[in-house]
Amino acid sequence: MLNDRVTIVSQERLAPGIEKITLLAPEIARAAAPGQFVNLYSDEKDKLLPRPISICEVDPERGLLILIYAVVGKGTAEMAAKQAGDTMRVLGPLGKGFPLEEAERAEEVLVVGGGLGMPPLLYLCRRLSELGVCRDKLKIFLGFRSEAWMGEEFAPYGTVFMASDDGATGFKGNAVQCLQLHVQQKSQNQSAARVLYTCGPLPMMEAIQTAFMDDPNMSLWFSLEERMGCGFGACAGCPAQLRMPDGSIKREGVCKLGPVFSGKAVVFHE
Amino acid sequence: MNKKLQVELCGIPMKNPLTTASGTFNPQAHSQFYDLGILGAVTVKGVADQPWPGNPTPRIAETYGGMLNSVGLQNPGADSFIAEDIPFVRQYDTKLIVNLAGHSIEEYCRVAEKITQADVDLLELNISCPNIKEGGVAFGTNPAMAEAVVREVKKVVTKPLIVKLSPNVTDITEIAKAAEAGGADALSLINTLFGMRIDVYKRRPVLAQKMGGFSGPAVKPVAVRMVYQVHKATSLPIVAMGGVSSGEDVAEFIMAGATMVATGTLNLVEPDCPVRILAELEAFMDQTGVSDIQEIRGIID
Repeated sequence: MLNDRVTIVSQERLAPGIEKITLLAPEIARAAAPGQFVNLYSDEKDKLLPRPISICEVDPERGLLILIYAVVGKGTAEMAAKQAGDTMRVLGPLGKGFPLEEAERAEEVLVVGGGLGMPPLLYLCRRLSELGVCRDKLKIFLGFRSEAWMGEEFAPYGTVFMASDDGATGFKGNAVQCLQLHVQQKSQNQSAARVLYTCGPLPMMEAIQTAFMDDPNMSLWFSLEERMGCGFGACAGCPAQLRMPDGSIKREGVCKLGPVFSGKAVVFHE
Repeated sequence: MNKKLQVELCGIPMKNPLTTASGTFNPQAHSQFYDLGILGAVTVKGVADQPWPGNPTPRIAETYGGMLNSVGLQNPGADSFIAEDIPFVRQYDTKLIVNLAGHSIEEYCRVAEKITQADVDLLELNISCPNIKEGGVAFGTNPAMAEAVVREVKKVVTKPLIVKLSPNVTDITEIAKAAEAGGADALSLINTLFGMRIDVYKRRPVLAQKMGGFSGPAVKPVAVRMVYQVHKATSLPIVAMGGVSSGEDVAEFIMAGATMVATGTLNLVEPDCPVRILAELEAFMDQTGVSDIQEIRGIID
């Protein structure tokens, strides 16, 4: 695990409030799995806590780590003001990432991303493709508020369906409506084993859980977000609630045992 | 220069005065970053007789130079702790202090009885957690209750008992003296200050529990003041914590009267901070001509 300062290779604005930063971090680029995240730290002592950011892509050969993040407060604003050549402290890779075994055997793999949940799905799709999930099997659903700020990057790995709340990009509606349309109309064989990976707003993941909870042929994997203290399993600040087979509820740290959990086990409301 | 960092706490020799504050340190998680054997002692998270689920999320909020938490002592219970955590810590050449949580005198006694029989060095009685509704801080803010719980727990333990004090009181020396009267072997302070943050854009508290424990570098002056007051008011050794982030901070707490000093919030932000802080403490001793760390303990009038 890397816990050190790294150099910024480039930073660009994808859309208002959405930044893409490329860091020279060979150790993380080589070690990271899809769905893992890194902690970024402020240089100012008044902002102590890390900003956990999901890994969007890595280039192990060039040692590059690519992150896409939203500017939501003072910490991310400080990050966004940094330029190529500047440095920042990074810790990672953290968390466990997406389990990929089922996808290799599945008839169809569905990937659903909403807003800032999309970036980590890019590395996931590339890895699925490398593992032999062919383009025909992989369906990618991306939901935006309005204009798209990513999407083409996914095209080599599967069929991309875009949706936006205002209709500016693709289907007018959200990614889950777009997904359900596909599942109802296009899926050839409802009894075939399918896997769905998702990351995005809680209402989106909750809608996916509701739609497929009772489908025995559908595996769900949700990447969760929670306000974190440390990001590496020390503070018990970010528990996910999971329903166990016996009906009891178990709490597991999003940072250490997640952020990806079985979507059918996730409890959204206490 | 040849320097002596060794200290003794309740008759137990420690290789140096540095430990970790309960709740900010997880042996398995932190061992990824440095050899835990560099520490004088590790102090691990609060453990109760039975598992506790903790509070709803969000449990964490950032504040200027610090943070709020309302974890609520989530823990796997004494049996799991004894089976899994103690053997893990025992791989390292360091002493083990275990923080004990409870809602009632009976619960404190039950967990104390279990843990004292396990392979641990010292016990720390947590009567100061602000994040649980019953027990915890209720004992730590009332001198009579503090004395009573310490007295009862002392009856069932065979290991030295440190009592962790709450800063959320008008006069901390009253509670310190009550714990001493109850038979405490040492005191630790400060637990977190009770704080709150409101998200003005969402018009609601940031924490699900509304209020939580405030910690981090911002609280250090309060902690130094209280360590100083308690050192003057009792004869018990003190484990100090509250915003420690440098070797100079360790020296500051020792001058205020502490025997040992713990890193807390910084463990969450800079997981290997004890490595740097120990080096800084040694550099401070060199620079100021301190050959034995005990020379500076409690030197402030």
